[in-house]
Amino acid sequence: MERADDPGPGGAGGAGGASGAASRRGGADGADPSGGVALRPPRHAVDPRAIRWWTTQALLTVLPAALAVAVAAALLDGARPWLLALLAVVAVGGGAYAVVMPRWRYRVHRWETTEEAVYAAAGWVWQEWRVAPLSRVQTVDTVRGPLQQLFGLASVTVTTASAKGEITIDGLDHVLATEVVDRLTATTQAIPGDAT
Amino acid sequence: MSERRPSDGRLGGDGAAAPANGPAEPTGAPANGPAHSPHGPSAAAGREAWRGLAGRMVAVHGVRLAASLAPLAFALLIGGSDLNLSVAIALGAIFGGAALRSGADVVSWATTRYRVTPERVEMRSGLLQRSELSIPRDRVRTVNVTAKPLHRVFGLATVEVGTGRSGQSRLRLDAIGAGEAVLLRSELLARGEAAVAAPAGATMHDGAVPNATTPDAAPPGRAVAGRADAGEPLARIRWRWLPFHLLSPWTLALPLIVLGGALQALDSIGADGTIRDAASDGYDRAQQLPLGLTIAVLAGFALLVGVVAASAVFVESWWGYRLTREPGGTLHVRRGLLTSRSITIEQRRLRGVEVAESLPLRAAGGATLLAIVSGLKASDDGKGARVDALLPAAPRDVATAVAAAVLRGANRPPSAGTPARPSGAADLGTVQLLPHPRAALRRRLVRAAGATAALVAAAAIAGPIAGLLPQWAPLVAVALLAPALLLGRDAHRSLGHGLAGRHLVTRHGTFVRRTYALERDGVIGWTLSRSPLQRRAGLATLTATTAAGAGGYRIVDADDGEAVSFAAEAVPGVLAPFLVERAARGTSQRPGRRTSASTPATTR
Repeated sequence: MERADDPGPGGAGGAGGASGAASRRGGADGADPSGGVALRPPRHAVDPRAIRWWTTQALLTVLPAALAVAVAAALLDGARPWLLALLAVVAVGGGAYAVVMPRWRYRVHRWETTEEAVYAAAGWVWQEWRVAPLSRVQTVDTVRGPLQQLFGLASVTVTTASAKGEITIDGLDHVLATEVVDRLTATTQAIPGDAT
Repeated sequence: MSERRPSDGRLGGDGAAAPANGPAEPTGAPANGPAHSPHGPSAAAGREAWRGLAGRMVAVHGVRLAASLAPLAFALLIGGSDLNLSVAIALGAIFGGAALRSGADVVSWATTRYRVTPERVEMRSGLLQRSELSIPRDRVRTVNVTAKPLHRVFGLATVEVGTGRSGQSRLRLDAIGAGEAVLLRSELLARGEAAVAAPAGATMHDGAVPNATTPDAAPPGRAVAGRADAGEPLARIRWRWLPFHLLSPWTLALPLIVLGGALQALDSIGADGTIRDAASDGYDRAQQLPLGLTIAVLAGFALLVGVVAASAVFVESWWGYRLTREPGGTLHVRRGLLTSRSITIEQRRLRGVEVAESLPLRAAGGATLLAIVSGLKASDDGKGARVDALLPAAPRDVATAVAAAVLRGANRPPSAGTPARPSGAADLGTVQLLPHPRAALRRRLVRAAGATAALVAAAAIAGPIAGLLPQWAPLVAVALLAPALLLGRDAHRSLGHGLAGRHLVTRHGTFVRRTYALERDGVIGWTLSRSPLQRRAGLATLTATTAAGAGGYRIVDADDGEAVSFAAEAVPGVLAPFLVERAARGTSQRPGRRTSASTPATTR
């Protein structure tokens, strides 16, 4: 079922996707002392509704801050010029954040699961690509906050025995997220061992 | 895994099945363990009788009660008979509280029963609020035997049996006889060693590996006679290592702690007025001396206090230190003067070692050695030494030699799904590490210059405003540029990573340079993270995640492409599905742009 919803150009998962992805991934500027391999991005983008979700989240942090500054500017006569300047900064900065961050995130956030591993990219300015083999996965679950429910989204969280190995895939369609969890749970349960 | 289940029954009033089966099977047991044969009804349990705690604990509680009432008696002695009502009520409340606490302790002591069956370790306690705790023996990860000084006087020891998961599932026996404690620990450990010898044994499951933190109940020499002394010695205390121990920040911090403690003690007995007088008197006298002399005398005195206190801590922590490998392959660290402590690290739980060199220690050619162990939290033992310390601060040669010996012995069966692993262990004394690109050096130099600039700016702006700093403060800050750049270069020289046999080695840090040797089989995932500046410079920070120690070990600012190749080579298979042939360089660095080539996966 993983393959069924795979619209990427690489076709079937695994290393078979190499030819399609190779041209997309350039080397680093620096030296390339060993190995002719590179890590390709995960195959699937997240749900486009995630942009609206992230935008809402950004507005929920920016608007109260702007409102607080505006109220202060209305009430405090003495500091009004300063507060209005601050308000302008908050409005412009926060607005830019609310516009740029979700779209940037949408281009970075990607995910993929295979029979052997979970692979996810996250972040926007700072970016992280995480891989965990399914043989080391301990728990798989979905998280749906109120905002995510509003947009029909869910996050999938995959934990391993490592305190720092948790993988979160944000902004999946909630039905798809349930399917991913079911599939991962079935695969991990079939693998023996204590996942350490 | 274990479960704690309150029950309102009387002793044994849980119904006929309860003493036999103990509390029900852990409900949350992971499905990956082989089937745990349901132990039979009363038959199996009948072999092991319930045992109580040592009777001598009454004496310990008595002494504790007396000790907690000592301040009270002191106050009564001083205050004499002129007690007013409110003071009498306060004293009565303190007395009542202490008595209640002791009473509760005694009730818990009197009602606690424990037993070890072939399958489980069980404990029940409580009079009204009864609780039962049952740990399958194959889930036992730690057996922790502590003997505080008071316990040692009465020949007692506290035993804690842990599953290595959450703090709630700890079975604590306070206290049983010291000899009994050693026997109990051996009993539980012996099972672990049997598991190592026969990992596929019918009743030995994935968790059957105790990794015990075990302060010995008796003086180190005779406590674990026979069993532990049969081990192969790897290291023992050398008192000439003391100077390395003194190179820690503790030596400077301890005088302040000692001073603070003394002031508080004097304050609590109402002598604060005297202190203030003495301080102002001392200040007046110091005014008549040259400033330099005063500073020198104070610093010298603080240093003296620090050296004495740190030496005392060293002796208390590391007295009788010995690192041995027991016949089962278990590492055994024994140390401690007043509270003797021994830490038993099962080799199968050992994922690697860390060699840490703080700047002063490195300058003196010393290093400390820590174990990277799953199930052993890297916590402080309360005396400045960490529970996972394998060595006190020692010469670097000794640390790397012991590290090599420890790593050589670490063998564990290959985990599920991993291919055959390379053999051989890392020798941190000789291992050659790949240096990181010049871009990493540039980053560090820029950071050093930036930090200096920030300091200069702060001194130039904040100094005159606050009026605290003299005019020449910015010049001093400027003079820091050269040392800062040197530190930056040193930080770059510290960077390195490589493979050595079964281990992945990574090193970073300048104030504390840390070298990690991590078992490649123990790596349970990878994280590749890139900041905007790292993307521009073609660098990336690669984190190997593991179940042990800190959970993740970083390869900082490696070449982006080389890091991926390294990860793929270090742990074959994990990254394989996501690797592509490297194309000619020069295309866009930004992962964000890469996505444009592939259609977004909309919802199915």
